[in-house]
Amino acid sequence: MNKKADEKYLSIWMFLIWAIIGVSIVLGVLMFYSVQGDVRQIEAQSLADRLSSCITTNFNYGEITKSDFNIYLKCNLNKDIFDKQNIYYFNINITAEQKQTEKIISGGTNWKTECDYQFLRKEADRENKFPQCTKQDSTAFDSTTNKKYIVSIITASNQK
Amino acid sequence: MKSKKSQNLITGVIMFLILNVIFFSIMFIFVGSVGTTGSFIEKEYSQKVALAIDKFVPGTEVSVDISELYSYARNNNYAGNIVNLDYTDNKVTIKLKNGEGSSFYYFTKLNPGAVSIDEKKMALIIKT
Repeated sequence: MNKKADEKYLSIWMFLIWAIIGVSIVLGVLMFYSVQGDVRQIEAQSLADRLSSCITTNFNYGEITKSDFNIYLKCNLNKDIFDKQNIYYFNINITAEQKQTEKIISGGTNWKTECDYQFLRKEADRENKFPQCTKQDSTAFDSTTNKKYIVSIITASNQK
Repeated sequence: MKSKKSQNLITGVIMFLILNVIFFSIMFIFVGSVGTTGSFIEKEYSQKVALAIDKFVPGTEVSVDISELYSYARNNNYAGNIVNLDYTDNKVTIKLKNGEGSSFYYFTKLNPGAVSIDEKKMALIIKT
């Protein structure tokens, strides 16, 4: 008689349901915090802001096209972190507004394909295997030559 | 007989309710505490400091409140360095207990000594 009452409320199925609910809550909470702790998009945006700001301020196309131009020195970036750690990428494309002259500067792990794929989908792929990318276009004016240039910057971060 | 049957039923229901309360209390405590555990705080602050270093333009001085870290370290009886900056590897490491702590990279080239701790204000001073 006693067994029947216990079985009705404390059956093995009840414990199984609690286990399923418990595991679901734990997984949900851990997933929530892992997504919240994903700052790759913010990092990529910070890198794009840094590059855009340092290139377009007092823009001089002649200086940038020089063979000894050092983007890391100019923008106060640590070259080693871009070369040794596979966590950052940048690509700067400078095009004259009328002519097709073009200067490309890039650094870090080459994630151009991954970034182009993300931009094509028009949404950030939240999967962990892909880096998070940002794209920023700005106009720069070279006061020495009185010419306008389009500075297109793609940056990515894959630091988890 | 009938009274014994209903008594068993009541005992079963009470047991069921007590176990439910215990289970959901554990879940509530887990959900409430998981975000404030040492390892989460270490990760959060290592990211926060690295992002603060990278976000601001060179020449800026930033202050980050780290009083929360001091109280966690005190609770863990940890007396070592809470914030460690590796200027060669561009890495911020936050430690609130003995162990490896949590590290996060930044891309800005900082001069050695650019990050210091104001013990009185319990704040991290970053000179980018």
